[in-house]
Amino acid sequence: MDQGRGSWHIHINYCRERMTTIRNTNSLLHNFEVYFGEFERSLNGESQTGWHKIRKKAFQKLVETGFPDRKHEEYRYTPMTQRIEKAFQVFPDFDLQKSGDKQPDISACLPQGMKANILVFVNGNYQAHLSKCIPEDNLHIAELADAIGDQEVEKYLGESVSHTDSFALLNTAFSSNGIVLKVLRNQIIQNPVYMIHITDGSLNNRVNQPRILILFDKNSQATIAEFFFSKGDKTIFTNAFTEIRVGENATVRYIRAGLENNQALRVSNISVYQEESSTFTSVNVDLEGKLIRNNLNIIQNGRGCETHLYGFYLLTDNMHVDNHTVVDHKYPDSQSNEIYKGIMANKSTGVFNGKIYVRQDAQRTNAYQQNSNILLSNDATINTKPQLEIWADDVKCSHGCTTGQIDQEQIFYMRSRGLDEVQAKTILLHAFALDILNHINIEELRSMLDLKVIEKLNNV
Amino acid sequence: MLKIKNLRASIGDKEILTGINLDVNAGEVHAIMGPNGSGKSTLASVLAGREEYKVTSGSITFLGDDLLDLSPEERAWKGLFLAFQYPVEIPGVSTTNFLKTAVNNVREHRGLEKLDAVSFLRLMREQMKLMEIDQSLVNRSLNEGFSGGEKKRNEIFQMALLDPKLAILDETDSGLDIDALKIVANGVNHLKSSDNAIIIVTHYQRLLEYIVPDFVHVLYNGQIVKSGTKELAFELEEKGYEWIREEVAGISI
Repeated sequence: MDQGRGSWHIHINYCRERMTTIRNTNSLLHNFEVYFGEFERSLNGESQTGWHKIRKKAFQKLVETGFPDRKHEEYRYTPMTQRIEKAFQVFPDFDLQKSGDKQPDISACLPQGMKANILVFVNGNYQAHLSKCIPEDNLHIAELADAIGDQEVEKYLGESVSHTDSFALLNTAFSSNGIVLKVLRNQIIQNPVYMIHITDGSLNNRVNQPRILILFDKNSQATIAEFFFSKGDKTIFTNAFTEIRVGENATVRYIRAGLENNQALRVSNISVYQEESSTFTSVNVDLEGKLIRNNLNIIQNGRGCETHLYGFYLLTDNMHVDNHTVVDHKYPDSQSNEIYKGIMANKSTGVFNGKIYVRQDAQRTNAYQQNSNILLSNDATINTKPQLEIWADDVKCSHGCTTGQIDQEQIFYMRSRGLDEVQAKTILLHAFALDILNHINIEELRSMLDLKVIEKLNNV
Repeated sequence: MLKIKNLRASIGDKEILTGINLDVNAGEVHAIMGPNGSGKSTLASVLAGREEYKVTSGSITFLGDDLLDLSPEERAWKGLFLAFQYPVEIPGVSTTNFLKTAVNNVREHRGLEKLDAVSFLRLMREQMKLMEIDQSLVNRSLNEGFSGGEKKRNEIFQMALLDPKLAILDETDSGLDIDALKIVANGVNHLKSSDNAIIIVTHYQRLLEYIVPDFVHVLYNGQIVKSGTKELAFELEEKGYEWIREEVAGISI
C-alpha cells in the first residue's frame, strides 16, 4: 500500500492513538486520496483558485479525522464506512464517473401535471439542459463554478470546512458541479422547486456527491423538494450535502425523499441555519435503498425561530435507515417540534438519534420531540435515542419514544366489521404513515410517496 | 338462527363459560343478564371470534354453519355483528372510509353489488339521521376522542349500515345518559325485524324498558341458570342478583 504521501502520514500519526481507526478506515481513505489526486488533475488551471483551497482544506481535515468506524459514537449502529469500503474496493477511473447516461428518462420521477421548477441532477451533477424553471417564479440559480467569485457563496463554502461529519468534508473536498439557489429579499416563490437526483446504477461503483447551497434572504418564502432516484441495480454511493440559510423572517418548507435501488448507499448532510423569526419545516421520507444515513442539523441563530421536523421510514428486507437530527436552540423565544415515525419489517434496522440543545441564552424555548416505531417482525430492529441537553432554566421540553407492534385490539375491531386481516393491518399502518405524509404540502409528491407506501404495505 | 350447545370456554387457565345452551330464532330479542364476572362479555367475545378465548368443548351453529370455524371477518360477512362494550379508538383512520370498506366487503360476500361513493354517502346520511349522528363525527378518525355516548351511538350506527342477521349488544347501555339511551334503543327497535335477531348483554334492566326482550336469561358462574320472559328482568332489578345465588346454591345442595 502506498503510504508515502504527506497527508497519509498525518493520518498515521492520528491513528497511533486509535489503532482501530487504522484497521477499519484506511483503505477507504486511501482510495479517496488516489481519487482526490485524479480529481485535482482533472481540474487543470482551476486548482489554484480560492475554491480549491477550500476543497484541499476539507480533504486535509478528512484525512486527519478519518472515516467513522464502528466505535465512532455517531456511527455505532450504521456501518457506512465498512459498507462503502466493501462495495468500492476498486474505484473506477475518475473520467468514468463522469460518463454514463446523460439524458436519462425522468418521466417516472415527475408526477403528471405537476407545476414546479424542475432542477435535474444526474450522477450528482447539475444538468441545466434537463432542468426547467417557471419564468414568473424568477428563480436565481447559478452553478457553483460560476458563483464562486460571489463573496457570500465563498464564505459559506469556507465555513462548511468546520463541519465535523467526515462525509460532509468529503463532499466539500470533491464539490464541483453543484448549484447555488438564491431566493431574494421579499421574494415568494409560488411554485415548488423540485430537485430530481437521478443516478445511473447500471455501472458499478458510482459515486455521486451533489452539493447544493440555498440562500433565503429576509422575508422570502419557498417550498423545496429533493428526491433521490436511480436507474439500474448496481451499488451506488451518494454523498449529498445541502446547506440552507434561512434569512430573517423567511419561511421555508423542505421535503426530502429517498427512492433509490435496493443496493444504494447514501449519506445526506442537511445543514440549516435559521435567522431571527424564521420558520423551517422539513419532511424526510425514506422508502428504498440499502443503507441510508441522514444528518439533519438545525442551528437557530436568532430569536423567535420556529422549526418543524417530520420523518417517516418504511423499511423492508435488509434495509437500514439512520436519522440523526440536531436542533440547536441558541436564542430565546424559539420553538421546535419534531416527530419521526417508522415501520420496520423483515430484517430491517432503523436508527433514530435526536439531539436537542437549549443553550443558556435560549430562555422560553419550547421543544418537543417524538419517535414512534412499529416492528412487524421479530428480526427487525430499532435503535432510538433522544438526547436533550439543556442549559437554560426557563424552558419547556418534552420527548418520548414508543416502539411496539400493531395493536391487536384495533385489528380485531376492524375484522369484526368485515375487513380482512390484511386490509385491517394495511389501513392501520397507512394511517400511521399519513400522520407524517400529510405534512407534505406538494400534493403530487405526497401522492407519489403515498402510492409507494401503499404498494410496500401490501407486501409486508 | 343461532344454536349454542354445551359451550365451555376459557381464557388462559381459567374456565369462564362452563356449559352454555341457547337457541335464538329469527325475529327474537334475547337479553342475557347476570352479575359482574358471570361470563356475559366472554360469551359475546366468543361469538364474535376473539382469539384470546379458547373454546374447550361444545358447539355453536350460526345459520347452518359451524361458527367456531369462521374468522371474525367471515362471521361479519355471514351476518354477525358485535357492538363493543368499549369500542377502540383508531387514530388516523377516517370513519367514513372505514365504513365504506366495511359495508362493501360485507355486500360483496353477500353477493350484492358494491356501493359507489354517492350511493354509500346516501345510505350513510339516512342512517346518520336515525342515530342522530352529526356529520362532524363521521369526518373524524374512528372513535378518536368520541365521548362514551358517541362511541355507543357509533356502534349502533355501524350496525344499521351493515344490516346484520344477528346483533350482539355488549353492555351497550352502560355509561349512557337517558337521552343517549333512548336514541340507541330507538335505533335498535327500528332495525329489528322478523328476519333478524338481537342478543342484549347487560347488567341492568334499564335498556330493556326501551327494547323489550322476548326472553331473559340469567348467566351465573358461566351457565344460564334461569330463563324467563321480560318479567324476570324486572324481578332482577327489584331483588338484585343475590336471590339467584341463593337459588343456585339451593339447587346444588
